[in-house]
Amino acid sequence: MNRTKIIGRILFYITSLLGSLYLIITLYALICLLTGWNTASYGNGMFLHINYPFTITPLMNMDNNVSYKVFSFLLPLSFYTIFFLLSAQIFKLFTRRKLFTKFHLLILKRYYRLNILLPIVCTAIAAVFVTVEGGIAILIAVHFILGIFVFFLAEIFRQGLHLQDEQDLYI
Amino acid sequence: MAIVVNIDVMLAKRKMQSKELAEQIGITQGNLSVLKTGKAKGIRFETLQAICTVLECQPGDILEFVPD
Repeated sequence: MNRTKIIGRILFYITSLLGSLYLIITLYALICLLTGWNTASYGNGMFLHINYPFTITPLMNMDNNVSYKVFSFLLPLSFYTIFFLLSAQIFKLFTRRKLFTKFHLLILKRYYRLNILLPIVCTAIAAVFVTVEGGIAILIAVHFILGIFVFFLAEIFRQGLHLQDEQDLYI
Repeated sequence: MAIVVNIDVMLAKRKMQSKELAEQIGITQGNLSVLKTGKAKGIRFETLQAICTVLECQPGDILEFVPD
């Protein structure tokens, strides 16, 4: 169990860091796009750079239209911010002394619902406004499979919680 | 449940409070309450032994079978 906690803790820190980075970048990009700060268009205004703060070195590039900015840029960034932060919660629960709790089950449910539903729904909505690349289907499939796996894990946790509650009633 | 746990009767006989019994047998007051109110699924032999030691009684003094 100690090994599980160590691995869980390491993965928690990694995913927390990734989630935090995605959050910072998403918020920074949102501020830049809303205010025009640190942005530079190029290619006859067809494309846009978002530069590193207080520099002219490009950090991110995108097509310079609203649909692309929202559905092909901000939406994926936001999704992966949420994905990594929730992944961090998943790994954190394996560092806890008591594994089978209602709260942990809730975390798992939220995670598998996010992975199964959100990529498909977001891509379907985005497809109305922008061209969705073929590689996105692979990502959707990966998240779907991950969601299914966590669904089964949640079922195991539900059973574990039930058995634990019963065991707690043996005085 | 058909098995009734009559701890209160023995507590009254020994002039002991639930809190004191719980402390002496090493379980929480909550768990003792679960036992007394018939919500427990079972009782461990070591718990039963501790109760009988503290209350100076036999298991039959605190466990009663009442057909449904």
